[in-house]
Amino acid sequence: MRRVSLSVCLISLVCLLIALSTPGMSASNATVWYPPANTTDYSYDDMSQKYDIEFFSTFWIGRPIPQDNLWTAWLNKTFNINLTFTTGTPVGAKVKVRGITGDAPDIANLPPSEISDVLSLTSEGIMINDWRPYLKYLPTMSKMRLDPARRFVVTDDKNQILAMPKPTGNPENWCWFIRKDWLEKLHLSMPKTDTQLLNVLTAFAKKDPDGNGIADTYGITSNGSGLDIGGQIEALLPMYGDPDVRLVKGKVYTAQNERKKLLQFIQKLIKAGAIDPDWYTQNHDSLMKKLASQRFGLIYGPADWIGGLAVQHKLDYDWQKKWTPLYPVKGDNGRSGGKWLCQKAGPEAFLMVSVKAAKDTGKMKRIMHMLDALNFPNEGFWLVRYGVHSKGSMSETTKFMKYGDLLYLNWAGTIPFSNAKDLCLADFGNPWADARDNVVSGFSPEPDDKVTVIEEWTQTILNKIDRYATNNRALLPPAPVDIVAGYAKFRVQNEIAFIMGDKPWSEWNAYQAQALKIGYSKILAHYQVQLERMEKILNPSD
Amino acid sequence: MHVASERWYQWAAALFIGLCTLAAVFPLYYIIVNSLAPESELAQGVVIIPHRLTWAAYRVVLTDIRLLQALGISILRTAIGSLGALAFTTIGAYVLARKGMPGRKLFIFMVLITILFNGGMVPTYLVVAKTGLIDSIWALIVPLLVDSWGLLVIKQFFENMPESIDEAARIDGASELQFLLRIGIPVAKPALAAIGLFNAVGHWNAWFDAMLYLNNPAKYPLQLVLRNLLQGLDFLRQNGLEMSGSSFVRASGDGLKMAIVILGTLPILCVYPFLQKHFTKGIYLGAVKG
Amino acid sequence: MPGLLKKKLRRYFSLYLLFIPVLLYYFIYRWQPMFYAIILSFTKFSLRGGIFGSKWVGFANIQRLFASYDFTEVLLNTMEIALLRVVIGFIPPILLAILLHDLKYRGFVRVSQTLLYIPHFFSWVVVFGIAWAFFATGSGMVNHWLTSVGKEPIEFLMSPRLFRPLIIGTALWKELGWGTIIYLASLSTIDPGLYEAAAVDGAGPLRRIWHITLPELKPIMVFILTISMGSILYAGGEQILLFYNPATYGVGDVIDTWVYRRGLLDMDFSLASAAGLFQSCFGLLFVLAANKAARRFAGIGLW
Repeated sequence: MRRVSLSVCLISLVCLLIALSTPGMSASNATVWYPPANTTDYSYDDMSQKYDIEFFSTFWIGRPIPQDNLWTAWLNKTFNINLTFTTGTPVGAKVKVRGITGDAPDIANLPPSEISDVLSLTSEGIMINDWRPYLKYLPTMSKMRLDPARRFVVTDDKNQILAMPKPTGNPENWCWFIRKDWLEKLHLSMPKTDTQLLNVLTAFAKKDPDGNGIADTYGITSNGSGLDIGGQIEALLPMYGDPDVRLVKGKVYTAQNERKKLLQFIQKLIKAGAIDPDWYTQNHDSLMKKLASQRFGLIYGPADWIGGLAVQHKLDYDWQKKWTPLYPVKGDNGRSGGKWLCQKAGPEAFLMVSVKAAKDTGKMKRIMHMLDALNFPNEGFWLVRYGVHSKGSMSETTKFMKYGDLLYLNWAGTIPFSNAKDLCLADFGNPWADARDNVVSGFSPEPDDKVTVIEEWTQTILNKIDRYATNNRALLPPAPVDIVAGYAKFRVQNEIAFIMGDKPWSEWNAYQAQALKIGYSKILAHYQVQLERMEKILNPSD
Repeated sequence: MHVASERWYQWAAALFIGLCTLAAVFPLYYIIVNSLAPESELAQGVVIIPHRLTWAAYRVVLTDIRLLQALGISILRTAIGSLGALAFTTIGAYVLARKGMPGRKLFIFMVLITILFNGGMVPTYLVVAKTGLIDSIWALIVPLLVDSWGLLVIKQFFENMPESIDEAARIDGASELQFLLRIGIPVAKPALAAIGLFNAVGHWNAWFDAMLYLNNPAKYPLQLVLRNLLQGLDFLRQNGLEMSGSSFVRASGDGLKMAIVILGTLPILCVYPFLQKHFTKGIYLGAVKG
Repeated sequence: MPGLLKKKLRRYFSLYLLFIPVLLYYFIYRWQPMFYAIILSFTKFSLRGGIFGSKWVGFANIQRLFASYDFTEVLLNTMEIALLRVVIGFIPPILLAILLHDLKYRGFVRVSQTLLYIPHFFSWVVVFGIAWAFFATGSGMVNHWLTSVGKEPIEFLMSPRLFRPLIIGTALWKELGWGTIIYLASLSTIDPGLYEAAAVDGAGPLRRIWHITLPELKPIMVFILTISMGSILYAGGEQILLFYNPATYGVGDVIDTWVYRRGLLDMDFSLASAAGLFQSCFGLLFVLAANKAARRFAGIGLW
């Protein structure tokens, strides 16, 4: 085990290039790995004219990119453009307003929660509603991103491709992780049922597992953002069964019974004091910061989160080893569930281009050229994502082999960034935000256990943990906004009322009945149509 | 004689007033004390009288770039916004105070309408968008450039000016603008000060318009940043450890949040004695408006 | 006549010139939104058509408004909360004002007044911050004390039962001191001779208040009461927006917060504009009625 202290990092920085090593080699023999040079043909773009391009996105941490960064400079130079980044949330709504005033941004990147805005922005003529004519300009992206499942999400009834989906990075290595050192300290065994989990989480909160004498630990938290129960806690839904929207005997089933049991579990967590009181109101950002504070015993995320948090917050790398993947917990005291979710499905973002930009064919070609060139495995991807360029492909004037102040990369091909080939266009915000915060990628060049741990975990998650196959909810195109809007508030309001005990559980069925009346029946009808359509597309019957 | 009951009454009155006053200031005291208490004490429990005082929280607050930026934005919008509002409102009041101007009654009526009736959140938002102010600090200033109620109050002042001054100036051949600058404003100074201060306080305290119209978090004024922090929608960095929300026990920077609350109200407290004089005068002057 | 008008216009020309920026402001930022409100409320807004090109649907939006499952609840919440504010906020400032006026230790009164006005100047965010410091679940003062004596912590911000008391309570705390000003102004106009006469008659403080002070205050009291009723459709959206969350929607969602969510987050412009127009129109009617009532019962009105 080696500690990476700040001084070592600085020395590495001074040495400019830090690289990787295959397992077994020590860092002193570190070599630099260069990704292969770009070979895609972009001759359709004559690169003669300079264009102004605006890119609108919330970016990774929701903070705007500072305008004076090295990547923008490189992009401007390489693509002969003048690139500006703008931001705002919610993205779809802000873009709509811009569209009304005739000033839609050229490129917009919508988060998956705003898929209904994809529908309205395209149907209202603000963003282009068909990418098919442009696919010939996007050789890499169309190959990487438009597999049948993802294509289905963004295709409408007329077979038009409404937006370019971004697949989930590391889609399959999400899992629950638990503090194994706390379990040991409190003499608890790995929880296998929901009741055991409740006890463990309560113990985490009440029995001071970190031994600092202050009652400042909790079992679990979430990121409700004041709007819903939050993705963290929702990831416990599989305890009670398959959480997917699916066809059961030809009819739509939406796991409401399972959801009720999850809500009841949350209620028990609250009563026991095992859950962070901010679980409902805080957002993803706050969640991540809290997770880094070492005060929680259970986290749901990809295998490299924990390592990433360690690096980002300058924690001891050993912290990573205190965690271990939690095997699926069975709800109903062991009678249901038994699998975790596979995060495989669902686009992580939707890329859209404005109708206004599309009117200028030269500009459109430039935009397509840029987007495609920044896609894995083209050179631009590496640069934008990690700050590494292909050997010999860059001139000396753009020396930003820096990535913040530290650059570590391990791409010998031994680390199972297992779906590397599925990683497509980088979320532009990521590298900038990282660089600004001097964050290092979760991987280090040193053949240390940190990397091995992640590798181990990923293998466990992929091979040893049972998971529900797909996440249809993320794949289905959404119901139209007016149906959803009213129902959304109703559902959220009622769920929190049940959880907090303001409504007795005996009223659950009445609530379900009323939900149907308010509009949920329409949503179910929509799901029925889409699920049947999806069946046909993904499993053609001949 | 009723000295006894009068005395009993006086004591009861003093007690009640004292309690109300205590209730009014104790929360402020509590926040101040919590902002000055060391984190170690805060971690132990509720602090009402701290054993030690430290400026640590304020040091963090006043060196955090983002907060300084937000503070700057707040100061900017308050200064430009209230001065601009004062200018526009005064001009408007002056013009409408001129009896005999054709159309005056109509204009006054239309100003009155805006006090009683407004377009609503969505239409106003659309207008702001259409005039290109979204994501600009001017969105916090321009839509507030005329304070209708203040206009009516200042107009009253101008109307109460004695005719003799008007005549004298007229004979002198002064233009309307000169008249306004040289005579009108000095005369209406108390009203101007009151209205100006009302607007300044309003600007300093505003957060909703920023939330609506601004996309770029770098442009958020202090109140909006504070609100985001309190609601766990944002975070501050302290010693590499982030903090936000409420649950996070004392050791996570509650002192910091308290310091920002104080920062959010500090200018008002500083200017307060000055404010009080003009405000109470303003109330005596104008209509009943909270 | 036209000649006279022309002469007047010329005379007032510089005034008009001066007034132009103000007029522009009103046109663009006050009257144009009203105009939009009317159009948006009666058309079905589509992004393609924009504000002026969308289809006219008459009262369909208003119908949709009242057919939506929660608007009636929201309307009721608005009126109930507004009413609660008025009722609870009415007596305390009067009481406090009378005491401040009657207390003999003027130094104490002056100091108290200075301190009592302070909360009025806090922003709602700061007030929320203070409320949070006291009532938050994890680290709030009240819950800390409760857990230390072995009781269960109370989720103030997530409890529908406590939401309205929290809102009204903090509002009262904020405005109590300030609310005394208008009454103090009135009290200062009472002829001290009346008090002297009462003292000679042998009236104690309570009788004095009942028979002299309150009747003298009656006009202003009735005025304040009726005028407050006029704003019954405005329940303090800014404050509620800060304090509420889905757990308290049922009791706290008011027209302003509903319009914000449906109009600017869900972007249902037509519906939200219709709600806003409804609020403005009926709000205006209420204010006019309140003013008439005030004139009738108190002898004074807003105009």
